[in-house]
Amino acid sequence: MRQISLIYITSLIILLSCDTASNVDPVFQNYFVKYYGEDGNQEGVDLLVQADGSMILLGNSSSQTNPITIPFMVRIDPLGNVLWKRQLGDINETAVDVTLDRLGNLIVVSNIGEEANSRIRVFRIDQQGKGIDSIIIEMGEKQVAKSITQISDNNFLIAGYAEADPNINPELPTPPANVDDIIVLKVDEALKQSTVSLRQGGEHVGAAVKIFETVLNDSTKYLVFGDSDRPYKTGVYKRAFEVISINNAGVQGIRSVSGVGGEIQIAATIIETPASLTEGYLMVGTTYVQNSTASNIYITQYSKELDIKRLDMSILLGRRLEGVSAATGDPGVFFILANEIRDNNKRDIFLLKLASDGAVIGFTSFGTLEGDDIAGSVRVLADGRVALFGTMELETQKKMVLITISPEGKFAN
Amino acid sequence: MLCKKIIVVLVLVTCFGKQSLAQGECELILVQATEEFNAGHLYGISAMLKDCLDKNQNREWRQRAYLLLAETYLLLEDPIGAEQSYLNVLRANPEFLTDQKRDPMDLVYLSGKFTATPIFSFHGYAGPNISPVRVIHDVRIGGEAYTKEKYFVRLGWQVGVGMDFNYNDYISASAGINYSQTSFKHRTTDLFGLNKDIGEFIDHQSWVTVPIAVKYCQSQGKIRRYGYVGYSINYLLADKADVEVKNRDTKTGEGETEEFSTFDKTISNVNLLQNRERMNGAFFVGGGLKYKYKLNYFYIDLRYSLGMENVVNTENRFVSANRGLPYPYVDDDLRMDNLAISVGYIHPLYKPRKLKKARTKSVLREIEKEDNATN
Repeated sequence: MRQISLIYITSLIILLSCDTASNVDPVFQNYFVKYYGEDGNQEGVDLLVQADGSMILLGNSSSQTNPITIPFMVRIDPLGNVLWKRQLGDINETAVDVTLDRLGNLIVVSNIGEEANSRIRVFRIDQQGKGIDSIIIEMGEKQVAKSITQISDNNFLIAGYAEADPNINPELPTPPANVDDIIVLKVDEALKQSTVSLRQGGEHVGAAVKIFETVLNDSTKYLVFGDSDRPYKTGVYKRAFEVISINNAGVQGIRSVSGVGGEIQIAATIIETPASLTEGYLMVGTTYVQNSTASNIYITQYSKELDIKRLDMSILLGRRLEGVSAATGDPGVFFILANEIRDNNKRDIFLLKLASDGAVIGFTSFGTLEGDDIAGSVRVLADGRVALFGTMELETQKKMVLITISPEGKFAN
Repeated sequence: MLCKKIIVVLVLVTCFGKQSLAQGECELILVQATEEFNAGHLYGISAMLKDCLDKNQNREWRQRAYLLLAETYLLLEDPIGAEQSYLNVLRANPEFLTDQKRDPMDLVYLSGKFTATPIFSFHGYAGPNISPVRVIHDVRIGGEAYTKEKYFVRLGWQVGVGMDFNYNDYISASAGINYSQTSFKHRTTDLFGLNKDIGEFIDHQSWVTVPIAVKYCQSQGKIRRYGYVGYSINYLLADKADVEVKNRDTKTGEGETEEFSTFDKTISNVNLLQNRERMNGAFFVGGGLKYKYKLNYFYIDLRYSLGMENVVNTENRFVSANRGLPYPYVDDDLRMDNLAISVGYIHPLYKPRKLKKARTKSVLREIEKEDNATN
């Protein structure tokens, strides 16, 4: 009898130790790799995390045989399930940025056509993916958008660059050729009218990357972050990070430049930094060693008034890296998303975690051995998880990829 | 050369001839001894058989001879001699059983004090298996709700050896070591669109398992049924996968009909050991038929193992994206069952011995019954 009881109890213990849905932690709901797309190739460029936890994935789609792109976007729930997906605009169009307007609609900015004849389009789309309105900005010249920001008067400011206008600065020495001018375009809230707010002509090449609205010296200013080779305090033309403040009429105020001599710095993204990292702005991009294939992530952190540069440095990891996107996390850390260029000139998605003083805490990378995998955007979710968005080249196709990991870079709590 | 062959043949003929002659003589002696027993001349029987018993006679002859001696000693009221003789009966034929209808009751009673049940039996087996997958959590590599996933069983195989400890004629405890190759296929359809990409993932595992079971077995008959339950500790030695992606894109064909252009790719031998929990366990039930062949058995066995634990290492589920091997597949949380058919061979290690506790009650009851019937 004792032996039968023992067998019975042992069997019961074994059966109760069975893994079931109730005792296996569904960690995959929080930490995952998911691919999104449709026919052909899809490349991810921007990720927007909304207050309800849903996310907007913005990318561009092309067929397997034709590289011409068409904007493509997906809305997913916090678990990564597709709520809707759709194409936008027309063929030969490339989406670059998505943001929310004050009513909660999605505002997407894209570039239409080849680079030399590029035009900018702005879409307004509701949360169900239905198009509301759009505008193609036609000013008879090449214009390329980098990002869009809604300002407090409900208009939109587009940061980008335009074909160089030699009339603005006829004294610009050439060579090198005068290629691009920094521009800031204003579009009204109804997406009916557009005007040029800023056109900077002191550079051979440059781009406005992101605009923030702020108050400096008791007046509203727009901080235009980007890069150009416009000289700063010297007569040397060298491309470097820069920020200028403009007023509502587009008149320039403060201008500050950062970078390292002998190299060129190209800005990729700018984010606002919270109090835990000293309020201000973090510029992230790439510094290229001239006459070399070497490249490193370059960061500059400005104070809110642009009077102090807390950080102004290259991140030297002995790898070929190009900074793409940035986010801040707790407790006082930066996440930098980059492209790592491997020996075969293919890229991997590279995530770097920095302390508030710029010291490297850790890094990880994702990508295929033979594929070209491209970083798009990094965001820190409300619960502290880190979401990476970009493109993964699978064996037969490119797909948008969303990777959610812990702040330590793991797929686990 | 020819002379050598002739000599060898002559030697063989001589040897076998002598042995054959000896067996014939001993058979004659056993017949004479039986006649003496039937005539009540008991005292000379032991001496008659001694020479032949000292020679190595065949099992059947020795069984009959020692049985005759056991009955003789019983009648001579020599219990030690009778017990020793019966023990030798069991040594000659470990599966010898007395029959109340055929054998004298005192012999039947004596037999109740002995057993030849093997304490240990060894067995070896081999056969095919399939591994049904039971999903704990469905994990998807894409976000579309219409993407379908399905598992398919695939044929594997196993070999193993084991040992049974026989508690009695019916109950035994079994332990062994088993090597198995298992496999399953996972198919994803409607990936990235309805009727679009198809992903096929074939997983191949190599396991070493240590099964421990309690077994119940019939003790009589040429064909004997048995059943068992147990638990096995499973250790994953290797796990490799083949992934095939059928990238099906729509293109407009002639006459504006849509057709698929496919871009297929197969990746082989992807090492997934890092993605797996290497230690696992299974609760199993099984049964089969044993066919008695001489003193050993052939058997056919059917076993179903219920995988108890998640095979997937949840923390490393997505590490292939770190390791440069992304493909549109991700493991579900899953348990792997296993249905195995084996054929095997059992070699019992018979051990004739006197029981510490004789099983003679039933014999006594039979004797009482017969007495009552006679009265």
